[in-house]
Amino acid sequence: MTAQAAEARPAPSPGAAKSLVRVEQVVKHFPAGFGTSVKAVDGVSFEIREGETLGLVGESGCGKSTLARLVTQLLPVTSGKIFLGDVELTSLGGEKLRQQRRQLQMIFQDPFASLDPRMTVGDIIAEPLDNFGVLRGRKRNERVQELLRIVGLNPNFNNRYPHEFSGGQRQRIGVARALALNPKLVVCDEAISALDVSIQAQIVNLLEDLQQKFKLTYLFIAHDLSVVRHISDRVMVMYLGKIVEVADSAGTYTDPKHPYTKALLSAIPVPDPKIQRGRRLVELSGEIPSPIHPPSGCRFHTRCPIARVPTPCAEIEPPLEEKVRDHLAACHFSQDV
Amino acid sequence: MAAPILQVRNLRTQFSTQDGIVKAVDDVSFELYPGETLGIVGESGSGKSVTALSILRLVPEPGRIVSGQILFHNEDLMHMSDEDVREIRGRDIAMIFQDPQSSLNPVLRVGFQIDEAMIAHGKSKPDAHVRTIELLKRVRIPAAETRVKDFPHQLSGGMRQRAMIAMGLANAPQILIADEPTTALDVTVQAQILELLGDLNRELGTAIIMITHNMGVVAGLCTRVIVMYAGQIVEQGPVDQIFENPQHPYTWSLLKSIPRVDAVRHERLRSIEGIAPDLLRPPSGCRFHPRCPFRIEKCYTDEPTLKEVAPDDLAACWVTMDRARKEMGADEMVDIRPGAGSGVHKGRES
Amino acid sequence: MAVASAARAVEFELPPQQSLWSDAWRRLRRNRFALIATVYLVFLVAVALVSTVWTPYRMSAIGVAETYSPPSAAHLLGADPLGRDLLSRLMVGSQVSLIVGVGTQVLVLLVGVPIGLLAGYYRGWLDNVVTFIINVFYGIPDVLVAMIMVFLLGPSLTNIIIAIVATRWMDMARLVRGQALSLREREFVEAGRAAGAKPFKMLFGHIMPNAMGPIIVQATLGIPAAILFEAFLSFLGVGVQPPTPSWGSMANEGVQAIQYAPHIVIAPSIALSLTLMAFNFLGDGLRDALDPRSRR
Repeated sequence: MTAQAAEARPAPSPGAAKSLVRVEQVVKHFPAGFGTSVKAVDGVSFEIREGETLGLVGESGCGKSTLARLVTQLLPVTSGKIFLGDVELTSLGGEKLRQQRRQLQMIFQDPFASLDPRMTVGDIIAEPLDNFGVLRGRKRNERVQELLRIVGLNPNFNNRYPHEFSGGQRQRIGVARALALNPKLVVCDEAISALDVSIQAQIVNLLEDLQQKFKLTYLFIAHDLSVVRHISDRVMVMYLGKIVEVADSAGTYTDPKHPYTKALLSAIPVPDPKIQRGRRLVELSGEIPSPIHPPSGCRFHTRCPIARVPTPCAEIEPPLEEKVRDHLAACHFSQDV
Repeated sequence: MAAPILQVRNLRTQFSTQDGIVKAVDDVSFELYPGETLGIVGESGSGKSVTALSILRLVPEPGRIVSGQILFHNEDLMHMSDEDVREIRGRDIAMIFQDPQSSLNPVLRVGFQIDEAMIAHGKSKPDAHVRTIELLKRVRIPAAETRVKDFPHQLSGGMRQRAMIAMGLANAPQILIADEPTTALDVTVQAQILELLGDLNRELGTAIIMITHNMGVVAGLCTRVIVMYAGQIVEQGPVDQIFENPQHPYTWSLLKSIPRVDAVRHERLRSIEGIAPDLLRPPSGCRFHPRCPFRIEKCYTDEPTLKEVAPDDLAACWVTMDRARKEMGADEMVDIRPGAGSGVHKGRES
Repeated sequence: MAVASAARAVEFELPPQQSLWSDAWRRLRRNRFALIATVYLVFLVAVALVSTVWTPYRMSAIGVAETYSPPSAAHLLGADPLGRDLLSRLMVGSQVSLIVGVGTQVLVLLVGVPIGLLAGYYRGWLDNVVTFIINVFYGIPDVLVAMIMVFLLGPSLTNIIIAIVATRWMDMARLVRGQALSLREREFVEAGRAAGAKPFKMLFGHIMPNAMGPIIVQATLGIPAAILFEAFLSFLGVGVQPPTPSWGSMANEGVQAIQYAPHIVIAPSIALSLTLMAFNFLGDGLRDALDPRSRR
């Protein structure tokens, strides 16, 4: 049991890694009555590189969950395009889209609600296999047992029902189900948020191990920035339907280039009393605006500590552009952050 | 050192379910001193919330406090009449809960509800009105005079929680018990609420019992910490001591399993293997032993009691981290598995 | 080695398997009324089965006893206005009630469940159309229409069943629609879609099984409603035709003689009441037993 060499997480260098998913100017509006709409996702573009873990953080109402469902096409886009490899997902419908689901799997947040309580664990895990007629009979059962073993569960439990398991175990079942078809992309939508702290670490380790073993690509969505920083290669920060910053996980935290990111970082409590006492909270004024009527110009300007109003922050929406190599931010005054 | 204002002694609270008796709180004792901030930290099933509810005798059916003393200024709440306890509730000891959405009555105006908290304890209506606005200002709700007439759904989550805090502080209680008050809130809002609580504690001298599962929250707000597991206290002490040099393997493992936003290098999280203990049939001996990396034979059979294992640090453990480091190589272990460090230490008395 | 933990199985023991149904069965067993009701219904089914091959007297045999005669040793329930043995006719009448009761519900399930599932899961225009149709049907006075239908189609057991189903299928459809509406928002339904489930599998593999509890209860409570409906129709004379006895028509036959031969009305009325009560108690017991939220 030697000490593991603690190394910085090597970020896949841009350009070298292939782009697995490309999202171009995706917009999702939900009708809110009286002609208004909730602008849940309002013009978002990014790429997910093969083999990486892309973290997506934001507070409630930022649109990250909606974005997760758009990427997996569980929700149709209002406008914009999403590419999986060369296939334009947003142009597909019905059966063609369903076939693409073999490559896009999702792990859900609530371990108690994401498994059908009336199905056995074995059937739940095998459902992707059954839905596409991939394996049958003995081979199917063998695959189910193999998947159970891979996620660290006793393979003889395939006849049990979800309610017999704890939250962490159920989440493992969810992971097994997501892996059944060897998908290219696994979207983890708050996959650990509903678990106890000590169990979260188990699942995080499991996800990391599986990624290494099976060369998976993750889109990891969470509101807990500590976990996202730990598990991700790159991190995207969302605010009110738009991406405000994209950088590798080290850069996001050591050198944020958007005031919201900086405020978010200052708000995370660190489990170390001496350090925590010495930290200063960046106060954000006001409340999160309604996504039905987002502020003009830069959406964050109503709460931003360094905003210069009215020009340019209240009038001109800052584009998401590269500030330093592979570090994008949407702010007129990144240098002041 | 001033006398403690609250002393909990040998508290046992149990729930009678159709599957058996759940020992939610099993022999818990601690003290709260005036003006301090005490954190009770634990995961689900640790008994932290039930402990808080027990203090105010608010345990819901089918639970009940079966034994123990709850001394508030040396008077035992367990022996008081329901009326007397009701007097204390809200006036001397107040409590705020996790979800302000369900704690506030949606059909009553916010100001009205805060007024009620004071009127119930003898204040006159006009006095209550004035103080409500003062309170809302104190909890930093902007435009308090107009907000007073709002309904809960018109306030954001953070503001609702501030209103709850205002209600809790309405009668200037000596103790404010906060049960996971920020868990349902966004991170930025959480930070503001915690800062508010810290300021209120300093300005008003109200002691705060903070119940949470978030070690970061405890580190920022509390001066003393109690760590609970499976209905029992496994470690307690000053916050610096507990975080820097935890003596109980559970505390140590918990701290090691939390990813830190300020981590410089990517270190693999050391998870606690296994699942939460079954409170119907808790493990024999030390309740943590099935998941403990440093267990010895004694841990299977004998239940440890809280002992001072380091200056001011009480832990319920036969081994303690000091020994685990010296003899079991705790710091070098990568994957923490139950029993990983033990094996050659059978039968040694601590 | 980081991969080691992935391969290492977390060995643990689970308590012996306890399926959801056995848990419900356990709860049902504790409900005394439901148990008594079940015993009665089992007895009733036995009587109905036996009566297909044997009754004390032939149910259509006129004059085996003195007309209007009260209960006696030879005729345990007495005789009806035509001198037929009341007990025998009562026994055969149970066949009618059970066939109508269960038959209507089977058809209601076949019609109402798919309609409700489609409307609740897909919503949109399909739901609007279905809801419109359901509301139209609710607007129809069911007894009147049933009477007209039987009149037009001709009085027979089959036609009665059709008429009852046609006027009462909406209860099941509405219930299932409500269940589908709420279930479709649950995460495991979304997970099913993400796993590539086809629409048929979504409806009948995910939504319907999770609505089985309320569906079973609704069907169980629908049986006495149907039986009562049929009894009512028969009482009015538009039910099963003589000589086939229905408890309702038997009561009709005895109404004029109620003052001097009340047993002719009382016997079928009591049988009807007991049967209705039994199904209702059973249905209530099932509802409590199958409701995962009621913990006692």
